[in-house]
Amino acid sequence: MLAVEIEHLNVYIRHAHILKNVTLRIPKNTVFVIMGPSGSGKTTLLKVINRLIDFTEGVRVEGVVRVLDIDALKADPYELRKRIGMVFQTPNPFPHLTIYENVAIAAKLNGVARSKRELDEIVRWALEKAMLWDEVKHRLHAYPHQLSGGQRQRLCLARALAMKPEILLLDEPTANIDPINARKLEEAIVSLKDEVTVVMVTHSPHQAARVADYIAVLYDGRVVEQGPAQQLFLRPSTEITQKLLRGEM
Amino acid sequence: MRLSKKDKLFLLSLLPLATSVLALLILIIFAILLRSLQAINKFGLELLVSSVWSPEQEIYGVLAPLIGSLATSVIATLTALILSIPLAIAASEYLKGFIKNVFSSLIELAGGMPTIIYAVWASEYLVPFLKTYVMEPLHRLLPFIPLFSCKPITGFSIFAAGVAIGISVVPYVTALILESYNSIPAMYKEACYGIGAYRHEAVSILLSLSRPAIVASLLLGFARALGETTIAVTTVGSSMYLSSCLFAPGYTVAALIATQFANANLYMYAESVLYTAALIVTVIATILSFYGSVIMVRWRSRIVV
Ligand SMILES: Nc1ncnc2c1ncn2[C@@H]1O[C@H](COP(=O)(O)OP(=O)(O)OP(=O)(O)O)[C@@H](O)[C@H]1O
Ligand SMILES: [Mg+2]
Repeated sequence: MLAVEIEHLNVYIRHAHILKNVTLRIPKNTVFVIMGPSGSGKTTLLKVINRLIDFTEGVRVEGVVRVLDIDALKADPYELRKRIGMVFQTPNPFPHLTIYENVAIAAKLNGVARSKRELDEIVRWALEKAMLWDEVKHRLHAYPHQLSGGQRQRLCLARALAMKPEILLLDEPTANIDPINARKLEEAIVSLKDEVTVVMVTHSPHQAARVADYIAVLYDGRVVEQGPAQQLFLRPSTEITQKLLRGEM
Repeated sequence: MRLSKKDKLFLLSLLPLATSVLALLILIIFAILLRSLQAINKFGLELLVSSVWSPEQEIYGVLAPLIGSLATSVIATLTALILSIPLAIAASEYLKGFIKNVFSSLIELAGGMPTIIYAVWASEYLVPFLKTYVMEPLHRLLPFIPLFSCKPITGFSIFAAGVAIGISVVPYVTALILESYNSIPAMYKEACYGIGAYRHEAVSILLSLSRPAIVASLLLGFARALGETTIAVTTVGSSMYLSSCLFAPGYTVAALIATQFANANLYMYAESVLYTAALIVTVIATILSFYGSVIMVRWRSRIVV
């Protein structure tokens, strides 16, 4: 069963060719890690999956993208996005909403909770899953600017989880988090596998080794290699993968 | 924020300009204050609690114009609120390409038009329209509310002046709201759509995100409405009679000054009384503008992390 199936995807932004003939298969209920140097197109690829790419000016997307068995490029992007959560590279909690509201709004927009009690439960569940609950349970009504960068990022993860998505897109979710909390988050990500398919961008080979079931390597807009994580670590078939997995790139 | 040496020099070079603008403002207020002293010493609080304009007998009271200025500005601000948010949202979210450009240029054009054009248009067309389609129905439906308790006779009234002034500040307020709405970092827009918001839901989240900026824009609009003169003169009805009803003719300070200033020097205190009224309005407008700007700046620094 595939969560995402991409064939011959080409993305152009104005005259720049950003993603080049990308073909990817992301199986359901796995952690799929995308690696690649800065500027290789990782974020762009994630944004194609949930059609956030639509908001980029001058963009042209060609190819086939099947997400959860629907044709993502032809589907109603708003309906599609309701099934996909995303955590962005830079933490972006809503500054005018409290911690509680930031999580609750995602549940509300997607009709996940039917009562105030259910909403409270979902908010708590999401914050616990994102390893943030213990740090904020006594100040749910504080505003996110009082949180650290790492806490903000986990708040964004909680917000994405509160949608009860089927796919979770994580763009370097641990970039601003200390190693201990990053570890916790990794555990959380792995434990989510039963419920969602996780597509995650990371720069850290160690992190990839700990969480990835599959790895795809992007280089200059192309997929240079993809496959089961172990296989890539043991027998990388390209020099780029080798360097990347050794942390030399 | 860390500033380089060049930045610091640049800021330093702006300092004389900035301080001289501030100094000019203080100087203006001080000059008005000096001119007001005569009337303040002579009449004291009496000026603020009565409504008379009778220079022949040297009896004055500017309560009605003061209330009129505030009331028309409140109505103007509400009018601007109702019209500006949809205009700003249309311009930034729903219109595309050529139409969007035409639309934005029209708003800019409307903002650059001399107020005399609004004034004539309002007294010829807007006032009769408001009388027939807004004031009379409101009076018929809700006569027990004091604000609507009088039958509009000519239509020229606090209400009409407020709406007319409001329409004239719409381009200004729209531009301010639009600017702040467009300055919201893209990451919040992505956050909205990323959690599955439909377009109108995203717009409403982003609007509530920019609420402080909208409040600030309205405060600046209020300050501008307080000073609006030409439109007030042609629509407010020029009556010193203080009424609780919005449909009765009234006065605003700006209109009082515009109509009475030319002859004021024939009398002992008239000119000084006008300065006193101007002082009060100027101080209120300055404080509101300042407060509005502070809110705006604080908001900007809050949303950019
Ligand atoms: N809005 C845009 N307009 C023009 N070019 C863009 C835009 N967004 C991305 N690009 C270009 O697309 C390429 C891929 O960008 P992308 O953000 O996907 O890289 P990335 O792999 O996520 O990099 P990083 O690891 O630094 O986040 C880059 O060369 C970038 O300059
Ligand atoms: Mg990126």
